[in-house]
Amino acid sequence: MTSQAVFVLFNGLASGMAFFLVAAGLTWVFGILKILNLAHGAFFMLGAYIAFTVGGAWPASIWSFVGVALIAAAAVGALGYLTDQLVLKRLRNVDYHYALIATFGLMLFCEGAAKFIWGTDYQAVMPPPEIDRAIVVGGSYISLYTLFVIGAGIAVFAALEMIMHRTWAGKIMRAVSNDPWMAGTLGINVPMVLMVSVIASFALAGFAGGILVPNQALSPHVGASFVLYAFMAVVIGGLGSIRGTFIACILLGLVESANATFLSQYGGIAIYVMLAVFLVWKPTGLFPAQGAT
Amino acid sequence: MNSVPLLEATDLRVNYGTFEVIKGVSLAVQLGEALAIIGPNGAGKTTLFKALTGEIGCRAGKVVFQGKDVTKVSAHQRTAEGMGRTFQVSRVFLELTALENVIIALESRDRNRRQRRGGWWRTSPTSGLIKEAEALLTRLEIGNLRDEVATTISHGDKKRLELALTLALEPKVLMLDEPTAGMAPADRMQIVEMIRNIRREQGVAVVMTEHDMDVIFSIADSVVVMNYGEVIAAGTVDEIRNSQVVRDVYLGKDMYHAAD
Amino acid sequence: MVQNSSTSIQGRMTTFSPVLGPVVLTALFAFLFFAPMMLNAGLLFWVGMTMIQAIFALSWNLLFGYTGLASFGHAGFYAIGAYFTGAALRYDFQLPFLVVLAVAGILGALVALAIGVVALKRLTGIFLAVLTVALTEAMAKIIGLSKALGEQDGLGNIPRPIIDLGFLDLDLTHSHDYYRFLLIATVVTVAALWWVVHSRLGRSFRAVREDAERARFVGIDVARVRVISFMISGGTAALAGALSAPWTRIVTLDQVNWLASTQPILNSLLGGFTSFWGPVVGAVAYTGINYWTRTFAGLSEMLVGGILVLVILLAPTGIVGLLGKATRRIRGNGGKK
Repeated sequence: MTSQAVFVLFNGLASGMAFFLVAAGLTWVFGILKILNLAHGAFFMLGAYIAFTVGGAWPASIWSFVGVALIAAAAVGALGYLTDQLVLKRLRNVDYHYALIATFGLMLFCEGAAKFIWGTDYQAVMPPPEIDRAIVVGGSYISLYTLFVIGAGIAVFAALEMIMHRTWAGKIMRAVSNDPWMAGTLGINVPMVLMVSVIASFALAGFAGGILVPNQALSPHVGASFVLYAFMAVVIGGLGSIRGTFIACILLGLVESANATFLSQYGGIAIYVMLAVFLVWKPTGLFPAQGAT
Repeated sequence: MNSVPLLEATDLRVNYGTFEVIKGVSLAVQLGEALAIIGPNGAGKTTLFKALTGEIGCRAGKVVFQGKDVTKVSAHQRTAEGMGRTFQVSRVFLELTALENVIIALESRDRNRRQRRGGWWRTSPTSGLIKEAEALLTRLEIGNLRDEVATTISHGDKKRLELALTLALEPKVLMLDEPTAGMAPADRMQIVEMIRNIRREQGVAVVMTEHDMDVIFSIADSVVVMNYGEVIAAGTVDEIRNSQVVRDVYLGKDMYHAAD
Repeated sequence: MVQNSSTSIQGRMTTFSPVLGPVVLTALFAFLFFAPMMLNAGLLFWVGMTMIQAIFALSWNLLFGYTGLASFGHAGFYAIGAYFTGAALRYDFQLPFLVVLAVAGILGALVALAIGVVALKRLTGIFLAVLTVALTEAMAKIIGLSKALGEQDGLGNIPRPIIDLGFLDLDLTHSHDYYRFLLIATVVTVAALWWVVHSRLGRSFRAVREDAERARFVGIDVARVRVISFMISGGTAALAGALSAPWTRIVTLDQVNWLASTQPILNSLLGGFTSFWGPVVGAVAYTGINYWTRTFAGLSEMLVGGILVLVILLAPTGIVGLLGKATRRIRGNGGKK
C-alpha cells in the first residue's frame, strides 16, 4: 500500500509539473493580455519537434538535453515574436470570442505545418542516459526522468515567482496586468511589456516541449492533450494567477494519478469531475485574478 | 395621498464586500409622484437605484412594489411588473434599428402578459405591433430614425430611444438614472418637457437621480437627499430648496457639485 | 474590428435580396436532388457530409451568432445523437427511425438543459468555453470505456434504416435513398432553424446577445432565454449527429474530441456568423478546401487555419459579409452602413 501511495504521489507530481510547464506560459499571457491562447499547445508541440530535430532521438547527455530544450525555447520565442507582430497585436481590445477563434486558427495552422514538415508518423525521443533509469523509493520504482520533470516544474515556478514578486520587471508586469491604462499613464511602455510577455510565454512553451518530449509519442497532435489539462489548471487556478495555476496543476496531477492507479477501469474521468465541481463551486478559481471575468 | 405607496423601501442596506454603501435607507413613492434622489458624488444614489430595480441584491431591508415584497425578485420580473428603467449612460440594442429596439421591448411586454398577437407560426411582428412601435418613436420625436441602426444615432436620440424602450413596457414607475447626463442644455430641456408630458398623460410615477437642479425642480414633487449612504433630508421641492442641511452638504468644502 | 461595427444587423438583412434568395435556394435544392445521378459515390458522400456539417454549424451559430454564447464542446451533442442512433440501428431498438431521430434530438436538448441550469447562469465567456470542452472530453473518455459503444474502435457496421409509414415502407438501405431522405431532413431542419431565428423568440435571443443588461430591463428573463437557445442548439447538433450515423455507417471517437467541436466554429466563421446562411456557405467552402487538398498531409489544416486567422483579422463577417459588402458597393450605397 505504501509503495502504491509513493507511486501515485510521484507520478501525480510529475504529471502535475508537466501540466504546469505548459500552463505557466498560458496563464502568464492570460494575466497580461486577457487572451486565452488556444494555440499554446501547438507551440509546445513545435518546441518538441524542434528539440527532436536538433537533438535527435538519443540525447548524448543531460546537459545537451537541457541545451536543446533552451534552443527550442529560443526558436519558439522567436516564433512568438512573429505571431505577436502578425496576429496577437491586432487582437488587443477585441471581443474575446474573436481572440479565442483566431488563436484556434493559429493552432490549426501550426498543426498543419507540423504535418507538412515532419509527417504524421509517430516519433520517439529517449530521456538522456544519466536519468534513463529508475531508483527505488519507498518500495516503488520511480524513474529519474520523473524526478527531473518534477524538478524542472518547481524550478520554473520558483523562477516565475522570483521574477513576478521580487524584481522591477515583475512589478511592471503586475502593474500592466492590473490596469494597462494606468500603467501607461505612469510612463510604462505597455506595448513593449505585452510583447515581451508574449515572447516569454512562447519561449516557455518551447522549453516545455524540449523537456517533456521524452516518453511521449511525438505527433502533430501531442499539444492538444497537454494544453487541455493546462486550460483546466488555468481556470481552476483563477485565470492569470501563476500560484493558483501551480496548485491546480499539482491537484490535477495527483487526482489523475490516483484515478489511474485505484480506479483504472474509469481512467481519466476524475479530473473532469474535479473541474466540474470547481467550476460550479468556485467559478472564479482558487486565486481570482484582478480584472478576470 | 394614497395610503399604500407604489414603491416603498424600508431600512435598505447594501454592501460592497464588507463596506456598507447604503446604510439603512427608507423611502416611499406614491402613485404618480415624482421623487428625485440627490446628493454629492459617491453618496450612494446609483447603488440605491440598483437595489430598487433589482440589479444588485441588498444585505438587509425590504423593497415593496405595488404592495408586494420584491426584495428577492429578479430584475426582469420587477421590470415585467411595472418598473421601467433607464441607465446613466443610455443602453439600447446597438446593432438593431430603432424600430427593432422598440419591437423587442413591446414583444417582451406581451410575453410577460402571456399575450400573443397573430399565430405562433408567424415570424414578423404584426402590423399592429409595428404601428404601436412607430407611434412611440414619433411621440419621442425620433420617428425619422425608424430604420437607423442604433450605433449611428446621436447621444441625445439614444436617450430618447431608451425612453421609448422603457415606455413600451407601460411601466407604473419610471426609474431614471440621470436622465439628462451628458446632454446639451437645449436637449436637456426637451427631455424634461418630454418626461413632464409623459407624467401628465399617463400619470406614471418617476424616481430619478440627477445632478442638474433645474431638471430636478422642473420634474420632481419631492426630494430625498443622500450623503455617505444615508438619507440626510427629505421633503417637498420647496422644503429642500430652503434647507440649511442640504446647502451645507452641497456647498461644504469637502463636497463638490459636479454635473458629470 | 470592434464587434459593433462588424456585425451590423444590416449585414443580416441585405445579404440575400428577396428575389435572388429563393432563386438560389431552388437551384441549390434541384442540384442536390439530382446529385445522385450526376456524382460518383465518393463525391456524393462528401455532399451528404456537407449537408450534415451545415446543420451542425447552423446549430452552433444559433448559440453564438444570435445569443452571444460560444460553446467549444459542441461535438459532445453531435456525438450524443450519432452514438444513440448508431446503437439504436445496430442493436435494433425496435423503434421507428423517425422516433429515433426525435429521441436523439431530445437527448441533446436535455443534456443542454442540465448544463444550462447548473452552469449558464453564472458561466459565460471563457468559463463556459472550458467547461464545454471538458465535458465533451469527459464524455469521450466514458464512451471509450464502454463496450457496447465500441470502446476505442467506435461503432461500425451501422445498418441504414427502413421507415415504416404504415401504408408503405421507405427502404433507405441504398445510399441514394438515404441521401434523398437526408436532403429532405436537412431542408426541414434548416427551415425550422430559420423560423426560430426570425421569430419573436429569435428576436429575444438577439436582444440578449446585444446587451444582456438592457434585455433584463425590458423584462426578458436572460438566463431562461440562454438556456432555451442552448437547448435548441444542442438538440439540433444531436440531430445532425443522428443523421450522420446511417450515412457514414460508423461512429468513432474522432467525432467526440474537442477538435471535432471546432468544425462548426470554423464553418460559421468562414461563412460569416452574422448571416443566417453563413454557416452553410462556410460548410461548403470548407468541404471544397478539404476535398482539393486531401492528398497533401497538413495542407488543409494550414489553409483552413490560415484563412480563419485572416478572416478574423480582415473580415470578421466572413464570406457572406464580404459578398454583402460587395453587393452594397455595386448598388451604389456602399458608403452608408
